[in-house]
Amino acid sequence: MATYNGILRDNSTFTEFTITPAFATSFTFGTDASVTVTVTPNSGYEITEAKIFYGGMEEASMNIQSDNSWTYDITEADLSSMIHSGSRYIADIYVDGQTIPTPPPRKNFFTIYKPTSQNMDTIDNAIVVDWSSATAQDIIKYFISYKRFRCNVPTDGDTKLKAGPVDFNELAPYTTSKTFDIDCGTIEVPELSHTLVDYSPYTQVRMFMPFCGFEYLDVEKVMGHNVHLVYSVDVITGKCLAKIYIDITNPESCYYQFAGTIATDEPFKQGDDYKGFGEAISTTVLGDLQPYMVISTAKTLEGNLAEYEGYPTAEVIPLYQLDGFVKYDSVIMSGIPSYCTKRELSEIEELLKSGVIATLQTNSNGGDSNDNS
Amino acid sequence: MQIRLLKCTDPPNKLHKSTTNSKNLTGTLKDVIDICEPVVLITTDPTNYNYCYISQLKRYYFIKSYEVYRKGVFILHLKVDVLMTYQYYIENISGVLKRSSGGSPYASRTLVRDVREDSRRIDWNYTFSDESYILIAKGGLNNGNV
Repeated sequence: MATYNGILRDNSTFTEFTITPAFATSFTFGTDASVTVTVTPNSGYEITEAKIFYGGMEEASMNIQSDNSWTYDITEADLSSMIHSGSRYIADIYVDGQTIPTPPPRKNFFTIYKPTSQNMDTIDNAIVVDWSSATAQDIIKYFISYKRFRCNVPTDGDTKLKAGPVDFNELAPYTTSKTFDIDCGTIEVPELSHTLVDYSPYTQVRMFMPFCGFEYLDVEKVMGHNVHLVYSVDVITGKCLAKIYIDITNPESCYYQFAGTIATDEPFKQGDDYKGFGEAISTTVLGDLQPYMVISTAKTLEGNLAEYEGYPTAEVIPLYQLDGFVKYDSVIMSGIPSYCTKRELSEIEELLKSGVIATLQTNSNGGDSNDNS
Repeated sequence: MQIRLLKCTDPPNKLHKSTTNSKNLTGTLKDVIDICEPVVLITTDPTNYNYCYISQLKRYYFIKSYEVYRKGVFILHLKVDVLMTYQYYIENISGVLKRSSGGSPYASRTLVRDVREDSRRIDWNYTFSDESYILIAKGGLNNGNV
């Protein structure tokens, strides 16, 4: 194994791409090892060609990878062609590329504001009368909707508050995102009795999701797992989608989706049909605001079944490996000594099928019974 | 015939039974015997015993009942304990288990249950306590609203 100090010739930094390893890096080669030089395009840029030069004489094309980076493996054999001074070897990287054109932002016919009280006051005053000209003006027609959301809607900063041609000459918070997510977190659903009682038909799981209401979930899907609740909210319509992720798979998968309404209309138009309260009732916006799960489990009257009757199973296993109550469905009566009568043989089989109490043996004797008393 | 009287408190269906209070004595088989259910004459009071081993017959027996034949002579009615007698052969028998203490508590079976049920509630540590007012106005951000 040898250590060489590799120099990438131009140690300038580039905004278009990144080269690894860093300039003036010490390379360590093993017997068959190599050092991989990688050129990765930065965001908004793509590489059309990348070459590596060593010694100003030799050149080699780098290889494009699935992640659009370009790589070349410098082997110890390559070093023989490189210009070097002692253990310092020099290579140049040539990169050609272009900027990825970005589409112009999509134009909307509306702007989504999250107005402050001051903003609303300004609009309210403008709605009634323009006192400066002493004339009433109808600016309501420049608004599309006004909704009350039961959650915090994130914003992208402030922008000028305008409605159509009307400029209110002040700033208001706004958002360009039409949807956003609310992560309610994860709960663990532990088993209670650690038996089949924790599952259907003996247990039922009902979940309450604010704005969506009550829904039944499959107990087998959630019991013993982590349940993760995420809401996706539509800022324009006020609708929401409650998504339930369960860690049955890794990574967790979405198993359920329930739609609801997280916002209600606020009255602001003259003659407008105010739907806020009725909508609130029908869409459970006025319901509980905390998600929860109710797990209803039957009370079993079963005692210590394992000791007296055991639990169902279908294993094939010799008796000496078992402990406690054992009941066979079928047995192969072999190895019983010849002095055992047919009647005794039948009784043994009958007892094994009706249930015996076994003691775990570390080693089976497999021999004659002794008078051990 | 050598008989060892024993006391056994283990359940009859236990394979490996433990015994105490052994007492060796000599008995006589009464008439023609059934090896599985022999009748034995002894001269020892068997009141404190419920189990015995007869080495000549290579078998353990439950003492089903006994009778006082005449003063000091007792008649024992025995029943073979096949589990204890063949215990080291039986423990090697294999087969398909139907139930066992080590079976699965999750295996499907019919439960006797109360019609009432217990309920528990698990809350998410999140409450929709915030609110926002959203106003949508005509005219896009790229149409002069910026």
